[in-house]
This record gives sequence, structure tokens and C-alpha cells, in this order.
Amino acid sequence: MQHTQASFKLGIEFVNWGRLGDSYIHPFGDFGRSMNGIGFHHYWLRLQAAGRGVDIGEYSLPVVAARAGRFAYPSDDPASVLSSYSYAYQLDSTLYAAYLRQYSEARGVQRHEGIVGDVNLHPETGFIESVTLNDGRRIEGQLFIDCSGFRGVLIEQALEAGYEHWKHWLPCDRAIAIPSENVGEIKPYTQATAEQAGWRWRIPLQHRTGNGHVYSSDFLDDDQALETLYAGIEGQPLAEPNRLRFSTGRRKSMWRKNCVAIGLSAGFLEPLESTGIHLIQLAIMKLIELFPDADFDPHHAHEFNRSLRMQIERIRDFLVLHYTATERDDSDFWNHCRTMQKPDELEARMDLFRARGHVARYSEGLFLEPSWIAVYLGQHLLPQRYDPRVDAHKLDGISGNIDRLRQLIRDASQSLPTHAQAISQSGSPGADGWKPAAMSLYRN
Amino acid sequence: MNARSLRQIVILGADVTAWLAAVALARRLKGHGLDILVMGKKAGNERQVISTSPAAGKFHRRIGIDDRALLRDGGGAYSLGTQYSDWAAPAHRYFHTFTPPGRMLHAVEFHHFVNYLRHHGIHAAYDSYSAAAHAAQLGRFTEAGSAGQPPLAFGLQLDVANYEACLRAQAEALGVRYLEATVVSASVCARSGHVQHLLLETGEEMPADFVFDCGNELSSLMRDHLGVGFVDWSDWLPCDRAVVALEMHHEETPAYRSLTRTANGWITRESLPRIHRHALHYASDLTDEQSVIAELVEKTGIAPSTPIATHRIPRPGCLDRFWRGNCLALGNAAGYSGDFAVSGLHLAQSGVLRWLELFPDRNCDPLLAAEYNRAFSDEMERVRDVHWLHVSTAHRESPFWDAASAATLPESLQYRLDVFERTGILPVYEADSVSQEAWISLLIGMDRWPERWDPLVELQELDAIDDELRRIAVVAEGVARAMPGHDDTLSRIGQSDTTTAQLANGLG
Repeated sequence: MQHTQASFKLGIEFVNWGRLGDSYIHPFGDFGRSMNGIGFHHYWLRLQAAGRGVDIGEYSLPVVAARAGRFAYPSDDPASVLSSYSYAYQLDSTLYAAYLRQYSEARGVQRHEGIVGDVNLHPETGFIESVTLNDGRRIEGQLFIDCSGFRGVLIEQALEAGYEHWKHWLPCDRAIAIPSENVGEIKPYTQATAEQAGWRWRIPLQHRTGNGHVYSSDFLDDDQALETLYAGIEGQPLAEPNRLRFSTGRRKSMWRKNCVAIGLSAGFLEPLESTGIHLIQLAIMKLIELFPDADFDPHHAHEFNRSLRMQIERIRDFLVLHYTATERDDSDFWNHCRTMQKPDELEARMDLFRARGHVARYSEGLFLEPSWIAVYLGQHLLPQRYDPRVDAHKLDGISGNIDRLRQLIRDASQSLPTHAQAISQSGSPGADGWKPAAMSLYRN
Repeated sequence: MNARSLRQIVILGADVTAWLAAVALARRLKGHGLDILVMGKKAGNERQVISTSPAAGKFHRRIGIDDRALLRDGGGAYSLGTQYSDWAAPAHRYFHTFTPPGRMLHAVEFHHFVNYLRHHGIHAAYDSYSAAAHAAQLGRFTEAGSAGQPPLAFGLQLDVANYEACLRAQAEALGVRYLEATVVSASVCARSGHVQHLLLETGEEMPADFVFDCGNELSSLMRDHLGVGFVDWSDWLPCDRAVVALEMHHEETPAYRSLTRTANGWITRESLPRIHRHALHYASDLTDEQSVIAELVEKTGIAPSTPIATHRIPRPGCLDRFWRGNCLALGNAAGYSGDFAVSGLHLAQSGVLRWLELFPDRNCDPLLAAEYNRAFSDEMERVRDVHWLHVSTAHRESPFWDAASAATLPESLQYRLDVFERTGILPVYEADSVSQEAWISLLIGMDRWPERWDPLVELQELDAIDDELRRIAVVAEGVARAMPGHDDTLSRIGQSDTTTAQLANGLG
């Protein structure tokens, strides 16, 4: 945290997505607690139907704490409402890269700076034998990991793995980024504000705020996009705009022959749900799990590709949901998103939720039930029915029960240190040592 | 409750599946004003024994059934897994246990180390690293941890009639009604496709808002009256009959099930205190009954005078939809893929829980059924794959096994086998009921050692790995030796504080 000027993150606030004027937080945690084996949101839906609903975010500790600008590491006590969330970091990616470089070099990784000129393939097998740098140096290897970004210097330019484009589902293709000075308290959450033809991010770090505008060049020109970004920046800009172009999609084979693409070379999804680092880490872990021999049996690559494809496609569907679950009709861009043909699996999931408030289960995938509920309800995709068993309980009973939960969460949130205090304490691990990271998005 | 709520649930069938569903529904839907009726006719009086997996214990706890009371009152036994005999080759034996062998070492899965040693000429049986296998071999069992190690996972071997009686008592205490009756047809609404009434043999009509079809091959509502299609699996699972014998024994009750390949099929053996139940599964179009009876007698060593009964085996395959309209098939009515690593009971339990999650109202939104069918059919196919693996890896030496192994493997299974064989890594699928470790244990038990190991294994010296694995085998055996005998543990259950009355009233 010190090296990357990081802050804590309890979720993402989505502004203007379902309707202009909307705001909801997708938290790293559950909403309420299931009761009698029935998900909390079914009870909430019943109150909502009776006109007694309160913003569902009030039943989520990380939402309430985020809005109150508070943070603490989750509790280890499963009985405490303070164990009902997980957390992430907001960090400076340039500093993060520098930190990781220093970390790995200290452990024996050698770095050769240069630009790849030629990629030398074995004449029969087509495997990469070496790369020749522009200054003539030749670097040999058995396994090549391509982290060269969108271009995919090895995986695409040399090995022609192919790319599957998803622009018809996720139409944004450009971004502009500008850092600015911090104004006010550092928020323990990221903001994603929908605009006319895309959305703006706002990521508060210790030393500055990251701002950006992701947009679709089919619907907005670059100058207008820059104007929109400037209009949304609160503090003084600290650098010139950095313009980026991208193609949303995935590399058809992320692992081909003796080359494994990780990062942007493997595929790209806009940072709407901050999934870039997650997919990188997942690929690294999968590569270690499927670590090959020198003769590269193709089964390693098949299994790697099968597993990561499922992961990225499920994240893609979750992103598409943000665009398609909207009532916005104030621009061509939103009219397109609202009416577009959705991926089949997403369509089925949305239909099931609309009919009965049920979130279709899967076990492999980053975003599970609480995340889908956050976005569905946050963007007005309200089910027509809830679980009929909820009707067996008296409305006042439900209401009393969940009011108590709401108060419990409010009190627990007030007991937490402010985000600034939490950051200043993060440099020292305290008596219990460093907190181990949780693999779940939702629970300690 | 409102006008759309379900009020009358009818469960067709009168066997374990029906009563399990009844208890689960009655307990989980208590206070919702539902009337639950179990309707069927008890078929036959043969003594049957069922073998459950650890997941059944979890399910029992969720629906308020106490495993110890089941064992004590029902004369059951524990099970640590299955012993495979003569499966991959004649005289080959292997314990596949619910707690898998070894443990992860140096952040690498255990089997890679064993495989590495093997390729370097150091052979040890994979199950020698399993404390559960040693315990099974030595006739030991305890639910608690032993020798400072965590407890072992276990299932149960239960006398079916007693199990049913216990479930029935539990269900009736929760208000479930039973009607001994046979359904002859159903009146189906032309518009909604829902069953409105079930027509009984007596001419009576029984109304139903929702029907669970827990029938068997002889009477399946879904297949016979609702026109649901059936996917036939008898090309790879050609069994249609079993010859069954009960044997009295006076030895330590085996805390495991056994599965023995024979020329004409396979023999399952479940054990209760003092009783073994042997069943030889075979194909009646390939072998005549006299030959299989002779084989059963020869392989099990039972007295030739032992009475032998012949049973029909459910037709292998599954429905193409499990939930249609207001009717859901469970257990053998939903499908049957043999009785190997995953019992039909397991799928029935998972089906009930899935249905409870999707709990419909009278309209039975077809989207709920679609979601159920999608998830359940994935689960069913993954179980089919595990069972198909058994058939496809069995040693071939007879027309039966030639016939069984002639079928082309499904792509999902072939892929899994190929990747494992070539890399030593086992791909996992979304709907797997069998864990990755259990798949690996089964494959190795079938003598399907992979060609490779994780190269990270080689970061350790060969000798160091050899020493470490020897120690693990010694510890595994030590854990088993520190346990009391299985029968000793069983006899002590009676001294626990659970009473039959508590069982009948249901334990929370």
C-alpha cells in the first residue's frame, strides 16, 4: 500500500446507469442474510412490493461503510456483521509495476530492455525459439509469456492466434485518462458514472485521483469525449490526457505452442468492474497449475484456454448487463445498448431473475449471486415475483427483523475507523500480523 | 399464503427416494400450509442395503435426521469408501476412499509425487497413503479424529427397509400423509400441460398442485403419461438384471463397500453387522441366469444352497427433461447410470434441494423448470461420465465387457481422460458431484497413471520425496491402528444419549 499509494476499496458506485440520477454501490459483500434458507433479497422484494422498501444498500455493511467513508479489515468472527464483506485496493498502476519489478529483480529475475524486432520460429513446429531485439541481441527461451499488450507481439503477430471481437455487445473502444489532485476525503470506493456514450471512472488514491472516460467512437468524437472528461474532474489536472484505443474481445487461443498470452495480449474488457488484474492473476495461477514440460503437450494449452475462456466470457456477460439493463433513452448510444441482442446465457439469466428473483448458479466465475443482485436491483431490473414462501411471514415481522439488521449495520459501520485512519494504520501490521487476503469477493 | 401458492404436493412412490423427498419437503416447507401426500405401493420384501456418501450425512443434517440414530435403530454400518477388486486387471485391488490419499506437498498435488516415484521405479500402492484405506483394511473405524489427525469422511451402509421406516416415521411426525395406491393415469390440462388429477386404480381422482415422480421403471408418470423423452444409455451399460444373495457373517463388519469385476458383470457387496448382501449385475441377453448364479457362488464363496433372488435393474439412461409443467422426476424415475461412485440417492437429494431453491407457485413458471433442467442435466451427465469411466476402464476378457467398452466415450469424458493421461492434471467441470481428488483417486485405482507429473515436483530431490512419502504412508497406517474396531464403534452408538423417541420427533 505504501509503495503504490494505495487506498482501500469496498465496492464501485455506479451513477446514472439504470436511469439518469441513479446511484448504487456494487459492494464486496452480501446484502443482508438469508433467512429460513431463502435469500434476503426475496424478503426485501416483498417489502418493496408493499411500498415499505428502503434502498437495499442499507443492508450491506460495505455499502454503508463506503458511503460513510469508513474502513477496517473484515472481522474473523463469522457471527459478526463485520465479517460480511471483503475488500480490494485502488492503486497506482505505474507504481505497482515498478514495485513488482523491484520485487522480482530482487529474487533473481533478469530484465533486458529492448524492442522486439523479429520472432524466430522453428521451421517445422512453429514454436518460438528466440526473439531478436532491434539492437541485434537474440534472446532464446523455451516458454514465452506474451505481456506485450494489445498488439500481442508473440501470440498474434508471430503465432496468429486470432481474436474474437465483442464490440457488438460492448461498444466502447476508446479511453482518455487524466490524473488530478485530490479534493476532500479519499473515498473507499471507485466511481463509474455513465455518460452520453460511455462512462467515466474516478479512482481515489493517496496522492492523486485517477480519472478516465471510456467511450464509443461510433457515438462520440474524441474532442467531445475529452470535454466530458474535463467537466467531470474535480481537482486540478496533473498531466496531459493519455489517449487509448482498444478492441474488446478475447484472443482465440491464449496459449498457443510455447507462448502464453497474459494481460491485454490475451483479451480486453473495459475496467468497468476492475477485472483486469484479476484475469492476469488467474492466468498466472492457471499457468503454474498447468506448468508444461519442454515438449509442450497440447493438452496443457487446451485446458488453460478452456478454463480461462469460461472465466472471461462470464465476466463479459456481467459487464454487458450494466449496459443492457437500463431505461436510458437519452442518446443513440443508450438506445443501442438497451435494445441490443444479448449473449444467450445472459438473456436466460436475466429472464430468470425477472420472473422470480433467482440468480442462476455457477461455481466457476468471479461474480456470484450478490454482485448480480446489486446490478439487477441497482438498475431497476425488478423481479415480477419473489419466493412465495416469504408470504408465510407477517409483513411487520419481516420489517422489524430487517430494520434491526439495518440498525446493526449502521452501528457497526460507525464503529469503524475513517478511511484516512485505516490507510495511515496500514503501514504496520499490528499484533496479529498482516491480514491474509481472501479469495472470495464477498466474505472474509 | 395467497391464491397462487402450492397447497397439495403428491409424491409418487413408496421407496427411500419418496420418503427422503417427503422429509425434506415437510421440514423445509413447515409452516407454509402445504399438504404432502406420499402415494405408492411398496414393492417386494427383499432385504436391500444402500450405501451412501458423506454428502448424504450433510443432507440428513439439513433435514433433521441423525445419522447415529439411523445406524443404531436400523442396524447399519459405516463406510469409508469402496474396494475395487479385479477391476483394471485380475488380482488388482484398490481402496477408493472418501478421504483421498496423501495431501498437497510443496504446493503441488500429491499424486504427482507418487507418479514421479513410480516412473523412477519406486512403486507403492496409491491407497497406502490413505488412512481411510488402512482403516478399512484393518476393520477399524471412528467418527472422531485419530492420532492427532483430522476425522475421516464417511458414508453409511443402511438396511433399506429400516431406513425407509425411519424416514417414514420422521415424515409422518411432520404431518406427511401416506396412501397405499397405484396411479393408473393422469388428467393433464391441455392449455398449461399441468397434471390436474391423478387417477387411481380404485377409480378415485387425486388432485395435485405439484407432483414428484419417484416411481420406478414399472411406473413412471413422466415417461408413461406426460410423454417426456428418454435418453438410452444401455449401449455402454448393458446390465438389466442382478442375482442377489444374503450371507451371514461373523467377522468384523467391513466399513466399506466392495465392487468386484467378473466375467459376466460385477458384484457389489454391502455389509451390515452380521450380514453381507452380494449382487451380481449382468446382461440377460449375454448370459443365462444359471451361469451368473454359479459365478456369484464361486466369487463370493457363499454356500451353494444360499437362496438367490433375481432383480431387475432400472433401464440405464435419463429423461430429456426432469421437470415439466408441475411434475418433477427424482431418483430412478429421473435416470439411472449404474450404482458405482455416486448413488442415485445422491442425485435425488441434490434434486430436492435444487427444487426447494427454485420453489415455484401453482403457475410453475417454465423458466424455473428450464433452469432446473439445465443444471440437473449437467449434473446427471457428469455422474454418467464417472460411471462410464468405470465401465470403460474395466479389464476386458468376455463378451460382456467387450460390449460395454465398444461405445464411444462422450466428449466430456474423453477430454478429461486425455488431459489427465498426458499431463497428470484433471480438468474440473461446473456440475461435478465427484471432486477433483476423487476423480484422480478413481483413475489411479483403475490403473490409469498419467504419463507426466507436474514439473515442479522435480524441485525436490528424489530421495527426499521417497522419504517424505514413506513417512506419510506410516502416518496413514498409524492413524488407522489408533482407531477402535468398527463393530466396537457401532456398539457404542447405543450408549449415546439419542433416543428413538427423539428420532421419531425429528432432531433439529
